[in-house]
Amino acid sequence: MTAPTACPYTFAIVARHLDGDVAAADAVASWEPGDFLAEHLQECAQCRRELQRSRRLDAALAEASGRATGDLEADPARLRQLLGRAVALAEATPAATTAAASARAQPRRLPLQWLCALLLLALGFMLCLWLLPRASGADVDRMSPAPASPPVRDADAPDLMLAGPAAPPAPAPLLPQPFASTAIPLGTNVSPTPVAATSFAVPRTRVDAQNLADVLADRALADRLQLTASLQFAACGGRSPAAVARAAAAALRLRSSQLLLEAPVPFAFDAWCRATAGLDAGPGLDQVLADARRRPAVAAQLGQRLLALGQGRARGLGDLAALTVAARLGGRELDAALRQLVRRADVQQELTAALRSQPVRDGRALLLLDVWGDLVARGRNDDEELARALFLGQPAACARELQVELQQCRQSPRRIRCLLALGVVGGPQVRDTLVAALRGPVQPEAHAAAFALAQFAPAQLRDLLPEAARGDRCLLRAALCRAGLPEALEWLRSLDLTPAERALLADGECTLAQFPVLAALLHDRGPSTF
Amino acid sequence: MRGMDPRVGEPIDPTPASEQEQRWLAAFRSGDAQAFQPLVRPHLPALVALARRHCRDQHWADDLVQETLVRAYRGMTAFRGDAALRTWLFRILVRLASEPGRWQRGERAAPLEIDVPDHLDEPALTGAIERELGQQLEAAMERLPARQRTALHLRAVEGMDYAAIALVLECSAAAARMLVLEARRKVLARIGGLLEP
Repeated sequence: MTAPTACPYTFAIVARHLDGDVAAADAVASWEPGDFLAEHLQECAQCRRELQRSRRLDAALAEASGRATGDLEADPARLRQLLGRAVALAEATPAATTAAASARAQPRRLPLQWLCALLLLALGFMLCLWLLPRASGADVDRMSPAPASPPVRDADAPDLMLAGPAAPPAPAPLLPQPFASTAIPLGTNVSPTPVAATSFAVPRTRVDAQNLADVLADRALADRLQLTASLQFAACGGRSPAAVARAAAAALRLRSSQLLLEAPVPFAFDAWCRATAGLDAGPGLDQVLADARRRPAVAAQLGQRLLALGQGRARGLGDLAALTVAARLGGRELDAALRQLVRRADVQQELTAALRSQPVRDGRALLLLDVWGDLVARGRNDDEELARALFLGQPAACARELQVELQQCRQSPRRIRCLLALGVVGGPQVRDTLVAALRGPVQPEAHAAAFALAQFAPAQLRDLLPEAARGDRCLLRAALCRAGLPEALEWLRSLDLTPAERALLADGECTLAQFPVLAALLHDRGPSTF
Repeated sequence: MRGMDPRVGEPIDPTPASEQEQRWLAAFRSGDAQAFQPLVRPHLPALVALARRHCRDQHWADDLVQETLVRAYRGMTAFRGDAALRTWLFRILVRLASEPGRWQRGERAAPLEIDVPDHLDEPALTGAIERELGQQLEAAMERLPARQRTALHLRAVEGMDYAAIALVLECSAAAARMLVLEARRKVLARIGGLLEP
């Protein structure tokens, strides 16, 4: 921090000697003889210092600006892209007649609040139109003054924003029954039409894209549409079933997605990614993803994002959204990009979370198995913890893929991972597969199958007790012991164990690495039959 | 450095469109849409730099430049070429940027790369000082009013004189001079210590 300028000529000197403003400098010092400013500069140390600092400031600004746009200079393709996009947008819209008109033709967008207010006014006007004939016609007697009857209250009409089914019955309801029957439940957002501010056209600006993304991501869109439809249908005496609103919401959501994907601008794609990543699993998301799968450009753009993410770029929410959408979309190219990304960056948790959130998706198990292999190659322990981290919470479809892979794959490590993953995913059909694998020829695989079986709840394994009691089923017995069946734990107590062995089995939670020890103890020390 | 116009209160851009620009302009006016790109391409980095002064986010800045180019494309046929094309483009951009809340919603993007040197030798130390200066400078510029920030940028980075700045900002050259000098004074008051020899 420096002291304020005290010399009255500093500005003029800087203007003249740095900015070349001779006229202004002359104006400041016109009453002084000769080249006053030059002489003053020779004498005034403060002016010299300010001039020097101003020069350095300008140089620093120019340098900083050059650095900031250096990426542009080094990337002509990006400039071409920016220019091409602008030309495409300009050619898609009618030209202004003059430059001045063009410059003045700035879009004037009404704020959302104004649009909502206008919409509410329109709705209120519609209500008035409906109410007036009723009041002046059939209900005129009811509305005539009567000493004992309460006045007709406008408040008897359901609160349009917070209409609830438990409204007290009015003595003389002015609203028709269909209106009450179509009132939406409490808790609905107060904005009745989120689409009012949205222009359903290919977005040109970030604001347009964000509006479309808001429609796409709006979880309560169906309720909002139902609210609006309730008012309109009620005015004409009709009904507004919720199914119609849901269908309309799905159509609007899909259209928003399509428009965002059709826009030749990256921010629209970003907005689409963010909105799609936030969608809940369901038919709406499936529709959006199915439409996106039909567009090769989507996979290409997502692949580029993943590639950039794998090159060490700092991760932001947009990257996370792109990763989520890529994981949800799937497909050969994207899965390959995701495998590559996992090898380069620590995104395993984000990937598995994204996969969990999308039930309908092919290739999930294979992708996760590949990721597992890559993580192990990078030093992660090849154990049950990793199996849980990757497969816990994955849908049942994942189990079917794992079973198919188990049948087709001949590599023992991958087969072991399949078995462990099956244990994490669970399911009745999986249990039979694991029981069958106990009799496999490869001992590590049989151990893995038994350990996977032990992940099931005891109640799901109880019917296996008779089979486990047979003398040759020590792996099944070990699995039941590990699962914590009380009957099976009795077998452990009957074993002749050293204190170290007993300590190993004390908690009943032996790891995958310790499991063969448990199986061997049951095999070697236990009786031949139970 | 270009000479100043003696009539300070009447901004006149002393550098009208160059001959090459005039040729591209004529081609564009005669219907050759392809002429637009070579016409504005040399000015793109400057437009982006100015847009980044207005928007805190790089993507918003790209948006602003894109919209500027759209407006320029649509109004190019009426551009007479009396002033420099760059000045005209800057003027469109500044007008667009003045729309409240439209281009300034984004937060500044996080740095894309974090450069952590293995050891701090002399060049690395110098780089750190330069980075510190750059950050302080950016912060000081951010705190300026928009017109002062624009004026100082146009003067220091683009080398425009007061008359051209006045055309961009739609004010008198005297007002442009005061904007530049006042902006410099404020920035120096904040980071002047870093610029001492």
